[in-house]
Amino acid sequence: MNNKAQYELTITEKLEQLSVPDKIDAIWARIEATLDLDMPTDDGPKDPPAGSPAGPGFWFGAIFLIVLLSVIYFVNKRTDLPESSQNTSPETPAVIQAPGAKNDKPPPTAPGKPGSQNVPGIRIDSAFPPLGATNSELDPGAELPLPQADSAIVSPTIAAPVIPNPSQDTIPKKSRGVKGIKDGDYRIEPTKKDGP
Amino acid sequence: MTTTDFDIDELVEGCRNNQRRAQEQLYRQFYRFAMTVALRYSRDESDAADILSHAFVKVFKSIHTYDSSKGALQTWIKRIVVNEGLDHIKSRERFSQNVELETVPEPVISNAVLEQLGADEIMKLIHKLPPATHAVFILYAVEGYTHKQIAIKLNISEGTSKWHLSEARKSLQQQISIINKG
Repeated sequence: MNNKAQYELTITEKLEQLSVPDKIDAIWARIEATLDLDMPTDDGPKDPPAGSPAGPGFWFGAIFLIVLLSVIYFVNKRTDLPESSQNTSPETPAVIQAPGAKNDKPPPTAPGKPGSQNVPGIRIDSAFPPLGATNSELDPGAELPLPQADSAIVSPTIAAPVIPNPSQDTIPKKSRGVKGIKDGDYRIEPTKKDGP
Repeated sequence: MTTTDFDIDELVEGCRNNQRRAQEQLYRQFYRFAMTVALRYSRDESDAADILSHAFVKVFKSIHTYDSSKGALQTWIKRIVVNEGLDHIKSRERFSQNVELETVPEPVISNAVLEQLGADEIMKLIHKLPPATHAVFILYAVEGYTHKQIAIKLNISEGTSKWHLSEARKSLQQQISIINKG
């Protein structure tokens, strides 16, 4: 230790009274950031909530899983729409008219598919008779008329398509096959065994 | 054992276990003291913040080397802050050994004028010194190191340390004279 001059003692005393800048939090943030890099700790959050066993990584994973499951659920719902009836509203009865029928009023369309002859979830091709058509429009011998929808849920049962008697002119058909050949000519009768 | 000693020991133990909460509490407990030391070696508050942050990182990294039987924790922390301050000065100016003195002239510095000045004003006078001269003056006049100890710390000769002290006293005398006349 050296022998200080009087003025040096005065300077030392004065410097002990230096005003300290209020940077305590800002400097700690820098220290903490450096320590987290060089000396990571297993402390976890400073004040973790009581009973919380997991850190932020756990919650990110949980949220991701929930989002993933939700997406899968909604995708499955969309693919299941033809068998489900959730999209059918009470104002949309499951009556499907054949094209060209006397009552040519277009059937109510399903939401999202304007102009289509659809029961929600059921797609009808105009080349075939519409499913669920009433008995008066189809062969009286049709076996299974579709029930009218009297609730928001339409019965998922769909009758097998009934091909009307071609001799009747109730259903206009496109001309098929070669002219001059009757339908009976299309019958195939096995006559002999086909050899190799 | 007093309550304060027990708390310090608890904090030191927590710091040795790398507990962030203990480290923060230790830092906050010694912030004012350490910042006062850091300001002596800095040009401004930003420099002092740099010195302090680096110093405390070293404190926590080497806390396992602290031996309470060899001295108080405050003394140990002060040594780290001083060394960090000197490193900071060295980064600004290389301590050259161009002029050496055997004895240091004692210029007359008016203590009465110094008494009237505030701490911040005196610090501003010291900040005007060149970095190496600033360091030697603080180490000698404020910290109480001998020229031999300063020479080892700064890797200079004792003669160079004496030269820097002489330059510091001349400069301060001039500045105080200006203030006195004003």
